[in-house]
Amino acid sequence: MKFKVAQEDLAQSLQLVQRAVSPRSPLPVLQGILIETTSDGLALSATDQEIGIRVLCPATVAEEGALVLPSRLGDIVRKIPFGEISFEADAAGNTMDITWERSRFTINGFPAQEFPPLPEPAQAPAYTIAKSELRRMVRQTAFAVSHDDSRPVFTGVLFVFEGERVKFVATDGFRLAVSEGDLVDRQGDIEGEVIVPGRGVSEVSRVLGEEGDGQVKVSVSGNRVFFEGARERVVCRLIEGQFPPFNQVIPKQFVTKLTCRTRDLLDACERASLIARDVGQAVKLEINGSTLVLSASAPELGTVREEVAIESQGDTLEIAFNPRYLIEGLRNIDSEKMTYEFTGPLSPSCMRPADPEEADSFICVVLPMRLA
Amino acid sequence: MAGRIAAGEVVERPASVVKELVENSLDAGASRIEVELVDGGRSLVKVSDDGEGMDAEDARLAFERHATSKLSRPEDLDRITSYGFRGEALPSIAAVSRVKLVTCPAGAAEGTEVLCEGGEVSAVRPGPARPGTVVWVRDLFFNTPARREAMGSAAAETARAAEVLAALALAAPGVAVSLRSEGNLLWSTPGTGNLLDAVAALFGAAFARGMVPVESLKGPVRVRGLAGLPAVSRRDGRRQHLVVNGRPVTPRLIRTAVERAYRGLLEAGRTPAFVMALEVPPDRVDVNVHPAKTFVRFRDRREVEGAVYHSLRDALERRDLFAGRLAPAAREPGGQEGDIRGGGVEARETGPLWGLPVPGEVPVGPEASSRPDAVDFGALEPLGQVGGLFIAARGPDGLYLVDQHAAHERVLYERLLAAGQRGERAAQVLVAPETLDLGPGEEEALSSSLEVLRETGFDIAPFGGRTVMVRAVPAALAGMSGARLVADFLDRFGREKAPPGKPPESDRMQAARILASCRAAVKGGEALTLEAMGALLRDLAGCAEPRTCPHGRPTVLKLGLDEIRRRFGRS
Ligand SMILES: Nc1ncnc2c1ncn2[C@@H]1O[C@H](COP(=O)(O)OP(=O)(O)OP(=O)(O)O)[C@@H](O)[C@H]1O
Ligand SMILES: [Mg+2]
Repeated sequence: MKFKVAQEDLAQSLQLVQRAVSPRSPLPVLQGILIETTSDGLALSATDQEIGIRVLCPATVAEEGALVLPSRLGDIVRKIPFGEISFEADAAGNTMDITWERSRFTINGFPAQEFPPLPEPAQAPAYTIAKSELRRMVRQTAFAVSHDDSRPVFTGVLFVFEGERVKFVATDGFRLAVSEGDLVDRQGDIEGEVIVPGRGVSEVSRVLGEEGDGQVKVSVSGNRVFFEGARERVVCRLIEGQFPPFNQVIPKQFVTKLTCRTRDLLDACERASLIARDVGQAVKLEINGSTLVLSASAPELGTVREEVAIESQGDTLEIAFNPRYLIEGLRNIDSEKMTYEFTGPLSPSCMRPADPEEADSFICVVLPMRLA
Repeated sequence: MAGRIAAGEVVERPASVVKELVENSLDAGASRIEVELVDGGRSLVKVSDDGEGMDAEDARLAFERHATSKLSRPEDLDRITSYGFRGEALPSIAAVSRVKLVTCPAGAAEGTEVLCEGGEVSAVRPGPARPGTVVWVRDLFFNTPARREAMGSAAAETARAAEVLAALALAAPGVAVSLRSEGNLLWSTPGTGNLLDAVAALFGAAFARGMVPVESLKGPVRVRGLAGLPAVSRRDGRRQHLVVNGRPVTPRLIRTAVERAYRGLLEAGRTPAFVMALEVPPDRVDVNVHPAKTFVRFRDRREVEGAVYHSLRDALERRDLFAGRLAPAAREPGGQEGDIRGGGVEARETGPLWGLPVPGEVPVGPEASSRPDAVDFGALEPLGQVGGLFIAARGPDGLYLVDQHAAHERVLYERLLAAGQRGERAAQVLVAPETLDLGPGEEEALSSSLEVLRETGFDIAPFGGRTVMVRAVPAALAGMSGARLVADFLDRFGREKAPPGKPPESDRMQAARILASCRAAVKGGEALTLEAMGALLRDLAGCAEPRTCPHGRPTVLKLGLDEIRRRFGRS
């Protein structure tokens, strides 16, 4: 095995696969990165059994081969100056010589056969999404994923494929986020649902969504979901189980509804959260005609009271929220104006972009707090 | 015959012989008392002292019932300051054994020897002129076979006698007391008058390092003694000693006050070690309420409990409670009956600190116990996270390790407590109610805890059958599964019975808060930024009891600069 590669290409590729390395795996080979030559370069793979990442990296291959190198390779390559690096494995395939300029590194590896093969994606069903859409949808749902592993389905994001559209849904039992987008293309089944672990979703967005306008193909095979970009592929084990019927939770009617500039409400909430900063502390909203009064108090810190200009319909209302839940919802409303619907002081509230064109792109249902 | 029956009151076993003889020696003003046992005291209990001794006449009288030299006027009974006051002990012992007593007052030309067998004085004759008194009690219960049979093994009787003698040695730290069994020295106290020296001699140097001085004068009650840090707390309830006006009495008399003072400082199931000496004006305490004199009655019990509670709180308040953990911790020896038999200074108890060998013994004495252990939490500056679990922090006087989970638990617990006291019970409503299927027995646990759970913010409602519905969780626990939280709570109460005599509601309330703070606190393994660590340390500094988590585990360990210097050999 012998190849030449540009330092910056290799460093960037290694950084992407590194996240799937399991540094504490009892299987030493899983603490490494599989490097294989392909027809026009290299394929780098790593897996912790739950997530697998494979990235293609341009290189000039002089001799084919494969070898697993310790993930420390990433640290080494990052410290090598900009320029070309030569790799050459010994005949037995146990060590790799890394040379650049007048320097040489020799590191020990594992035979490639010991590395568990990453599963191959199926042809169908497969759905194609624009990278930018994927990025947005992940951002708009990942925050609501639960970190309490007592209900595994809540630790994942539900993907719902419906014709030309796809929905991502996440809930931790206290709020619910739904993001909707267009599919670019589709093969096979029109409808389908899978639950992808929250961690997997974040990795996908990092590996595949980082830059550029490309597309991502999402396919399901067995208990795995595959995400493929031009050079990157992420495999992720699915979460088994039944996601709760989220549509029932989204309010269809309201008793109070307000419209305001998203920024105004978000800023006010962020300021109030500086007072209501402890777990379990609330910010209060009082909605009355054209004003929203937002207040919070903490016995040891002080109090805050702000007025936000709104338009409102329906009843006056007093309601309290965990400020973090409000902020995380509001930050994900991408449009300038928003609407916020309430169904009562102790029942679900629902925020979304005001523009009817975008109204379905993002919905966040937040449950209130009961004070005393 | 009358003598033998009455003897049952005073003399039960070798330990009671030891107790009565040593009390007499103490009453005689001895500065050195040596006790020897053969066959657990069943064959021989020998007590020698260097006290004032007796002349021939008094020595003979001593074996006559009610011939006490210690009370001369009837009103003396109200202000007893000596151990003896009945004139019963020697005759009672002599009635069931073979006694030889050799005594001589200081400066006398000649001593006296008295022999007495089965209660009959068989000889009174001149003896050696050694100042003080020596009493041999042989063949205990030789004339009462049933009682002889009732005695335990030599080992068990030795252990009991040692226990009794240790209590007296702690009551009289100014007297050098030693114990031998079958010729071997088991322990000896130095008689320096310093209680800590006596404790170190009896229970080991490491144990003594885990004790902090207690000292206070509240109203008419003076409290002096030593209180154990959590490191020397016990699971077996031992190492608790109470002395009232120089007399060892049962520590149960102050148990509630001690428990209250240690509340929240110890892990469940552990009891504190302590040696407390109370001085109460003699007219405010009645010692004549129990034949074995191990009970006293206080005229004003609250006054005494208050004094004990406050003196302990004062002593524990500003201490580095867990100094004993970083400094080599005390080992808990077997916990068997012979607990203090093997006492003495055990150099082996000093283990390595952070894997480093300990050069030499740490001096035990007043300077070791009075070193300023207080932790100034507000001055701690985080340096980084260790093992994903601990915050390493720099303090003005050393290096600190803070358990991030325990510290956060403490902070949250006090907030929940404060919120509860303000009458707040903020709750976070769930998107959809969660259901919980109750296991067998849990229905009862739930119905008896329902009020408490609701009081903390849970919204729970029956859902038919054994199923309940959780609609809201305490706001501080938002993000966690309500059903799981309730299940955890019930699980705990399924196993734990509320201790009798305590209002169960407040116990459960406390348990609910502890559980809540535990669930909401940052977990071990969670990465923290320096900023977050600093905030946590500041919050901890603001706590009323920053040194322990609500379960009683330490939040902070300290490695003092002096200690660091010493361990680098730079002292
Ligand atoms: N070791 C001793 N040194 C000097 N005098 C002693 C000693 N032991 C006993 N005596 C004398 O013998 C008397 C009788 O002792 P004994 O223990 O029987 O009674 P007591 O100590 O007065 O009362 P109690 O029965 O409550 O112990 C004592 O009052 C004391 O005068
Ligand atoms: Mg006596």
